[in-house]
Order: sequence, then structure tokens, then C-alpha cells
Amino acid sequence: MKNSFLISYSFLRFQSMAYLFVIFWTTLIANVPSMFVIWKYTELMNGIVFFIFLFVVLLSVIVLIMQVLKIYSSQNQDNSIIKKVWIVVNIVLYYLVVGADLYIVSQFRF
Amino acid sequence: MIKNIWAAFLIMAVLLPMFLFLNPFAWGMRRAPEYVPSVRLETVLEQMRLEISQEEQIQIDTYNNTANLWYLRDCENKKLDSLENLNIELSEIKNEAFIEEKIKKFEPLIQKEIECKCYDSLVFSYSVHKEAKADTKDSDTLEYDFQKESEPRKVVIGFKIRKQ
Repeated sequence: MKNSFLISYSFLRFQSMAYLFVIFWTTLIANVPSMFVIWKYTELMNGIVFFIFLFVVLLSVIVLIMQVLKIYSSQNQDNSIIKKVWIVVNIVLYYLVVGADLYIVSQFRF
Repeated sequence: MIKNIWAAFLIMAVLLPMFLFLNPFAWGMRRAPEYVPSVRLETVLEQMRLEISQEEQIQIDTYNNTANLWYLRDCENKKLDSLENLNIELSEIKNEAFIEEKIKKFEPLIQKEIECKCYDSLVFSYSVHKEAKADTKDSDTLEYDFQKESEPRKVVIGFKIRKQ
């Protein structure tokens, strides 16, 4: 059902994986500074990545709010505890993604 | 009721970072990159300061250098048009000969700890505390001394970095 797609297991899984990829890439940039030297386009890549991450963050705000409204609305028949906990976990990952995006900003020059 | 309160709390939690993230003033408060010496270079500079402190108390600063975050990366990727000098500033001193001897002693040690291929020269600068001049007005010629007696004399010593 399209209405419950945002709170479906597949979408939640996709959302978590997207957040984890953002956090992984940022951790890689932070802990492997020689990447900037091994590949000279790393800085340009980080600029592109920043804008993609920015889009992910802004879209996440809307998606997370819609997910919270759907899962906690009285019309919702699905009382899955797993989904409720998963959304909270995604909110925590979203905080890490915001932090990661702020860090990526320092890794390229405007 | 509790469900609604919890839902409202989660929504506020999602919106909270946006006050920082979308705030242009927060973006303007980012710390500008600055030159950060390596741990080994700091150790050598501290040894130098301790040896000099046997005669006089000084401070050794490296803040007056291009931020090395991007400078060294551009150097490695060969994007620099010209190499810069590494500036090491000492505070005001009195015994110039002693300081020069220490600088000559530590210069090769410092060169070992910096990226030799990314810097052109190693430059030491310091001010010499000038003693008051004696009154020597016994000649007919006029002497113009534009430097005030209390003003310290600035000295700059440069060493070309040997590429390794």
C-alpha cells in the first residue's frame, strides 16, 4: 500500500543503509587523510558528496516527520514495536548524518 | 495521550538540528583552518626553547604560516604555483649571538621534521631588545637616527631548505 510505504520494512531498511553509508564515507575521510593524496579528485568528490548529503538530510526531515506521524497516528493499524524502535534508531542515525555533513563541509573549499 | 506526546517529542527532535544546520550564522562561525605543527616538530621546538631558556625566557610560535590542511595536500598533488617559507617566530631577545648559535644548531633538526619538498626556506624572526644609546654629540655632522631608542630591532634569518 502506498500509504504505508514510508513505514514498510523495506523502506526503513533502505533508509538505515543510506544513513550508514553517509556515516561510513565520512569516517573514511576523517581517518584516512592520505585519500586526498592518493586520488587528487577527493576534494571535488567531497564537494559533490556534501550536496548529496545535504539533500539527504533535508529529505530526511520530511520523511522522518511523516513516518512518526504515520506510526503514531490513531488510524494506524500496524502496532509493530519493531517499526517504532527502528524509526527512533533512524532518528539517531539522522543526527549522526547531520554531524557528518557538517564535517564534510570542512573537507572541501568553496 | 502518551503516544501523542512521544510523537511530538520525536518531531521536535528531528527539527532541532535544523536550527544549527540551516542557520547561516552558524555556518559563519566555522573555525578557520590554521597551521598546526606536527608532534615531532613541536618536540624539537620545545627542546630549542628549553635550551634557550638557560639564558633567557622566550616563546617560539609557528602561527604565522599558511594553514597546512590544504597547503600540504595541494603540494602533494602538485597544484602549487610557488612554495612558501616556513616562519618560526621567537619573542624579544637580548643576547643575539646566543640565539643565533641556537638557531644554527636546531635548524637542521627542524628541517628533518617538516615537509622539505613543500617549503622553500626556513625563516627565523625575532626582535632584539635595543639598549639605550649613549649621547655622542661631539661631531659636527648631523646623525639622523629614525629608530627610537626603545624600539626593538627586527632580525630575520633564513635557511634554504635542502630538498631530500
